[in-house]
Amino acid sequence: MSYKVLVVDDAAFMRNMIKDVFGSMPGFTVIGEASNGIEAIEKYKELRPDLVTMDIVMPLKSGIEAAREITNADREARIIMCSALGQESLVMEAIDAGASDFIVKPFKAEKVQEVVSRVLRIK
Amino acid sequence: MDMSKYKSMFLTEAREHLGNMNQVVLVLEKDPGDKGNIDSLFRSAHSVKGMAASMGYDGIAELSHKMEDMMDKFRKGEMPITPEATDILLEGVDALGQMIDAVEQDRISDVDVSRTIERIKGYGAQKSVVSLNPATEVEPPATDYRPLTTGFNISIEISQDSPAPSVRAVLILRKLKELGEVISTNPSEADLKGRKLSGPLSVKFVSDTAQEKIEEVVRGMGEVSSLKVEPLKDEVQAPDFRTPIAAPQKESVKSEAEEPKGSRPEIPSIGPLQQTVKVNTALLDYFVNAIGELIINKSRLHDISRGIPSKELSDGLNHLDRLVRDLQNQVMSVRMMPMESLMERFPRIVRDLARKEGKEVTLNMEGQDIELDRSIIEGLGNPLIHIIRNAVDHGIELPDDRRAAGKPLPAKILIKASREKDQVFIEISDDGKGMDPERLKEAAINKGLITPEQAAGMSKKEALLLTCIPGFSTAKVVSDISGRGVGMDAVKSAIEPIGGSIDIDSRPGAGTRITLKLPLTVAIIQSLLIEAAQEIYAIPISRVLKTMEIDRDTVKTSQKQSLIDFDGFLIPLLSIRKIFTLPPLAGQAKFIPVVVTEVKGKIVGLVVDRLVGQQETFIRPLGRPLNKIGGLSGTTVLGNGRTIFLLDVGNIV
Repeated sequence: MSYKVLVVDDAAFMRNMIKDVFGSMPGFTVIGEASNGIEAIEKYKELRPDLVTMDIVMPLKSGIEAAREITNADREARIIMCSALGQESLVMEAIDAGASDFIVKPFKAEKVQEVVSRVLRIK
Repeated sequence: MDMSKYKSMFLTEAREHLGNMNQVVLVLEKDPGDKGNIDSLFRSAHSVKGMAASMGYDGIAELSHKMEDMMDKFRKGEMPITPEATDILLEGVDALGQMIDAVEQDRISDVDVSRTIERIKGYGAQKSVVSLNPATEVEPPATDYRPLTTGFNISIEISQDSPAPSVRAVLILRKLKELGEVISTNPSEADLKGRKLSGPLSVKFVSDTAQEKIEEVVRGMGEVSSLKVEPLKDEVQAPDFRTPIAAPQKESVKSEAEEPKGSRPEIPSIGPLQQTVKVNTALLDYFVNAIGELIINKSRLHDISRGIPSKELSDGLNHLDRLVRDLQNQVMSVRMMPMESLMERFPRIVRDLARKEGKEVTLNMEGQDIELDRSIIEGLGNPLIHIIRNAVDHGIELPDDRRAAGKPLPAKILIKASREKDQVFIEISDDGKGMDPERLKEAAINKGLITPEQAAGMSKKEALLLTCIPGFSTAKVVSDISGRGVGMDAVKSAIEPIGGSIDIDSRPGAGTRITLKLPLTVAIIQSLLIEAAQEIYAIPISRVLKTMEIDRDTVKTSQKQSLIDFDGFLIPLLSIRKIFTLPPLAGQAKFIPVVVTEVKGKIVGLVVDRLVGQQETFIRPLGRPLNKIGGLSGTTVLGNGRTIFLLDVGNIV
């Protein structure tokens, strides 16, 4: 059984990068993508992924709001925020909103793996 | 967390135990052979030790622990009770009393317990009468096993290249809270959220987790450049957790020296009168009933006043509303008990079960400070023990099996209480072998409980809830294939009368999580009133997910089942009239009033004739024979004097 991942980012470039990172990790399948917060919530309900990577600054609805709504609806949601350098206060807000952890762009595959296994509690 | 509330409980109870010890020691001096009294003495010391350790009063815990050891030896006949022994014990009781006074007055105790501890040790060395045969000492005294909660000073430095050090710090704190209790942090959590972290984060932390484990977990959170975890090994002084933790050890010693010695009375005085009293619980029940009647009468007065245009009357009634509400809140808060009172038993239960089964398990608990009405706490004990027993007996694998499966040892069980609005969630999760919904379905089909067609239409969640059907899980075979779920029907039937519901999540190979959802209080609850065929019914608000009026044209039909869209999911519509075999409502209104709720673990829309409104209701239990009718769980009286039924929606079908 592999973990299902939903990738949320308004930039297709970033989504592809993240997909590649998960593509290189055995046991993970990217099952959906969303390019804004509203779409993220819809896709979450539809796909019930095990893990979400969530960009913070996005059109229509921010990643923070999306994280809040998703974790309110599903207390077990595991959301990793993807932030740029210097967004510490936004990341803090997202963690308060219910996100599980964060990674900072530009991503390194090892860093992503480390955070993902921590969040999913895989040894 | 607010420890002050526990402090007063600790003071009251610890003093009761000291009083008992004082009396009993004196009786024993005259009659050293009195087994009952020796046991009572042992229990008192044991209780004081446990309470003090949980509060972080290490000095008190240490001394009572030594006294407990001594009493254990009396109990086993390994040491004689001589006048010298009673002297030492009384000296110990006095020292404990002084340390407890110091706790109450928020000052560092200057009692030197090392002398008493030395005397206890000396007595043991000199008087031990039984040479212990190691071969028979297979089972060490149970007290050695009780995981003593330890206080830790943790100092964490987040690495320089962390992009968001304060976020990492908050995440580490969140993780620590899963392992124990964070007493204080420097900088404070609020500060962490407000500004960047520069310099180390210090945490005062209480947990029964081993030091190495804490280190491992904190490091595992990443971006930690330096970490120091130090147990608070302050044997003489009871550390005061409210002193700022950033202050190094030396400074706190200095400040103690600066404290004027004269401020403490030299002559032992009668302790201050206690601020709390014990009350018979029957009296508390009486209060709730009396307030319930008050509420009913109050709504009756409101109903009557509607026909009387008088400002004085309505002002008076509004004032009465406030008074009754205040009174109700106060009485309800008196009835609240922390989950701690239940959970404190669990570490021991898990340990004993695990030992018996030859399994390696660690138990972590969270949310001991969450409070619930005492009637609910009382009703929860057995179901929780049942679930925990299932987790250890059937969920957790034997060490060899875990090793073979590449799973970490020891296995983990987490019991977590949390509160959301007026509901409390209690989660019991394990990382054992989990349950397979497909195999549960097979077993249920084989037992003739469901048809293969029903099984095919079942969601994973519904399949897991099969374990709660009476008759499903009596067989040993089932426990073997399910890995859990023995006697879950008993759990369910114990939880539901107190307004609770149960949810099961499980992943084969990964573990099981059982979540109990409970109301904060019983008896007086907010209800949604609905009407069907001229009858009014009440539904506990806690069971209502949403009320809505849906357009008849949006109702979809699939295999004769009407469905509506609810938050992106299709849910079935059930009619209250149909359930109660009443004639269908005449005419077809364009909008249908619907109450969205959970029936037997499934979200459904209940079609009613009319949504009447929300009201505070005082629920009286049903007497025989009405209590045998499924779907009804009590009655309440409305303001107009009309008695209506409370629907047990979870079991309405």
